[in-house]
Amino acid sequence: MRRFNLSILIATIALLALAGCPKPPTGNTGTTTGTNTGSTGGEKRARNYNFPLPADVKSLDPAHITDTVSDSVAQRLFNRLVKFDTDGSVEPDLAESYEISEDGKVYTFHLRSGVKFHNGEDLNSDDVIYSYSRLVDPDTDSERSNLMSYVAGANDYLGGRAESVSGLKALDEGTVQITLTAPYAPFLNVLCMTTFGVVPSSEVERDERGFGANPVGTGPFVFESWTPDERVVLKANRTYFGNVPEIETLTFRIIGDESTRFENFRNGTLEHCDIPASKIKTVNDDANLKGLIAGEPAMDMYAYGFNCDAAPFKDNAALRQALNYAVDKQNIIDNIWGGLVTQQNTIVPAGMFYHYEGSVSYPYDPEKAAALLEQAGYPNGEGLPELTLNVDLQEVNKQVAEAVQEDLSRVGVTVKIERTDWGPFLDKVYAGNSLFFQNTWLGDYPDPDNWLYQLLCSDNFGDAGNISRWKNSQFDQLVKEAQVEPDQQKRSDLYRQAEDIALNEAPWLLLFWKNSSTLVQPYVKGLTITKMDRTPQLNNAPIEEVTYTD
Amino acid sequence: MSESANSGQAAAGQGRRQGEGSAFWTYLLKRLGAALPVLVGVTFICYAILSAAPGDPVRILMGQHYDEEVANELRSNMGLDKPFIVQYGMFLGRVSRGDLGRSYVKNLPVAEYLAPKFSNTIQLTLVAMFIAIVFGVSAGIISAAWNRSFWDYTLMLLAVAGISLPVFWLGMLLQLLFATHLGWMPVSDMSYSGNPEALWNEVGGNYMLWLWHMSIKFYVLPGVTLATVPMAIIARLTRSSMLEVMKLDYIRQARAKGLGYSRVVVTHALRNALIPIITVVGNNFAVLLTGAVLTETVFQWPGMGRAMVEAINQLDYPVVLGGVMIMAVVFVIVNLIVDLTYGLVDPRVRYG
Repeated sequence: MRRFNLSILIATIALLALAGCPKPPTGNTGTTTGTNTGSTGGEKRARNYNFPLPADVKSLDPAHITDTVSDSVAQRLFNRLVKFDTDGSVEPDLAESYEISEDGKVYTFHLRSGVKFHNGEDLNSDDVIYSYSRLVDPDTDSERSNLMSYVAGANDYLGGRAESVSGLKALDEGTVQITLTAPYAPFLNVLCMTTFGVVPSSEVERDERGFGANPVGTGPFVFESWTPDERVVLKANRTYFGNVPEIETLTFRIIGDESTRFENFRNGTLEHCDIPASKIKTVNDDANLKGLIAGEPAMDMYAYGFNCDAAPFKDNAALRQALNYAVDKQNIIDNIWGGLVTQQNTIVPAGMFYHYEGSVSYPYDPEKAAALLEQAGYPNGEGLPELTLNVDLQEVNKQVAEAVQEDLSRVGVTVKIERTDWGPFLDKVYAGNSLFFQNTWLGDYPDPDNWLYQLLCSDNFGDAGNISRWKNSQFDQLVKEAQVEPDQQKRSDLYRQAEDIALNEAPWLLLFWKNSSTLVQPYVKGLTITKMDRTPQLNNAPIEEVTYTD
Repeated sequence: MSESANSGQAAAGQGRRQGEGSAFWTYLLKRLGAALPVLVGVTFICYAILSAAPGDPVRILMGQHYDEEVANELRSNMGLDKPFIVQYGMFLGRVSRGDLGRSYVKNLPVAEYLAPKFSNTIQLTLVAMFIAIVFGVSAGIISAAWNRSFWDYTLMLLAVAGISLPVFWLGMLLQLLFATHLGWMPVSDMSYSGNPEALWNEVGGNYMLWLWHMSIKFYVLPGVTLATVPMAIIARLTRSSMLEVMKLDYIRQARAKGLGYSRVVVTHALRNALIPIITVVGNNFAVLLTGAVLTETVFQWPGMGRAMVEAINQLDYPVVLGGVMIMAVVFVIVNLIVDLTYGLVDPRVRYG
């Protein structure tokens, strides 16, 4: 009796195991895959691009994309009216051309004809109107509805005071007109964000909630499947209006552990990968790996912020300047980051129409720091309370914090490092309960507005981006003036003045720009990594242009 | 002789079972009923801790462009603006209707999100426990049967090492050796990420080979890594339990009857030594079923452990609570099965 039970148990387990086995592909598929390339390795590569992601996708609905990981996938599924070129300039995408009115308030877009959604439906101007309106539809609950606030009537629609967004009009099937409440120079840049991806109204109406897990767009890749925490699979869009991808499948593999990503790359099962901080030495010492690095300084800032709305930093620019002079940034760059980051000397990163070196800079100068400390009322740090520095849990960020701690202790400033999870970190810093904290920003678009206005204007005081809680009315006026100025030369001049004020006032402790340093397999060609890319997500890199060689 | 004794036991067992039938079912119902307060208690504690923990899920959700108005709207939609006890009441109400809610972060219902994770964890656990039981029990028997021999010392040394080795380190070591350097095994994941049809052609239509590359080889390294600790515990426990039993009179009796040593060890001694082993196997099983965070992280196994850690980091309350409920149910059921197995192995055990 008992033996019988045991054998039933074993048989059941065996059956279950068998039932769980994958089934072989049905029918003879030999003809479909063919032998168009020589070696089996080449054949495998020619079909699939393995793209690592450091976390799972949250939603692939443009209205709900808030993180770079989801954005990286959605980039390949949707088109906007305009897009960023690899050098960061705006170029037409779904729009064939566009005009901006004299007063800078009315944008007219002429759509490309014959664009089809992945489900076969034609794209027309109504889809564009629909996609933008739903960002401010109270039922959509878009986390990014504030990006629409420049469009006339958007806030009325969001507040339920209007039937539609008055600033969005379809003039005919192929023309869209957008009217702004006031001129806003970076508007085209904002339209390049994935939030403004055009979705088919029919699909979204059918199942709005399910759309984020089953997206339909017009992009170079078609959504195939999403297995949470494992992978997202896309297929090449063979009827894409732009460059039809040469690769057939784009598999996003979700690998949270950085060293596992790295080992997968070395094992040849990823086409590119980031360089974990813990492996920088390994990579630098290995000539083969070092030869595979691509990338450049990105618009990806790592700095510290001072809380300028609380003592001792409030109204004490000398103290903030002193700390800037006291930190040996080159030491951090060389010894912690192995040269994979670039020193930050300005607020706005390089690589856009506007470039400015700044009239002030903060080289390592402990003597000047000491002099400024005295001027600030804290000679040799006396009288200055212990500063708590808030950073997140990443190991490399801890190392940087320790280097800063040591440098500051040399001029008499005592720092205590407090490392917390991302959630508590945000809570503390956003609520203004931290005096000294990690301040990071990945540029949304290559326009100074995304840095100077977004991060330092008092309009965005606190939560909204200006977490240093710095206020300067002259600065505010300059960056707001620049927003409505259509002439780029004049805008640049305004931003120069504004940036000088900010650099002088030093609301941040400038540290470095991260590079988009990426390891790329030698047979991968045409992968252009841009300034706007954070690795390994590579949001802006056009994967559709990738080809393989052997 | 021993055959007849066995069948006699079986007959006696059956006779007793008929008389005891109702007691058994009462016992089962009682045990299952006791699970309910356990679930309520566990989720309440969990909800309380989550609510008290620092951090705001909406803030994490919003990313780089925080907007207070939008955030408040989201908070009220999620019910996060209500007091803690009301939120917990709403949660209980939903659960009693069989609805675990929707993940804040993933655009999915919790049950739909966690079901495949749990299934992946079960698969890895079965593989790991299979390895652990087969090798652990064998090692224990060998050590006990040839007590104080070279093999006894070697195996027990290995067992101590197995218990002491950090899982994370062992996993990375195996990964580096067998995946990166030798290239025999995949570095991570649980199935082939390329095109299955292309692979089918590459292996020339050999089903077993295809299955190996498609799926089986992905289980080897995480399975061995996860098996190490339970294997070592089982080996040591089997050894001590066997040595205990081997000292008893009936073993000497069996040997005196002229039975072979191996037969006495396997059929007479092992059976009586099984009770503590089953307890340990059961406990380890339950622990592994709740997800092995470290192993799953090293090998990117999409199981419960990783899902839970991620949910906690993102303050995805519905997923955390759903996961905790699944874990609590697993413990209750596994413990129950362990208790029932005692009776199966040892007829002296009664339920009541």
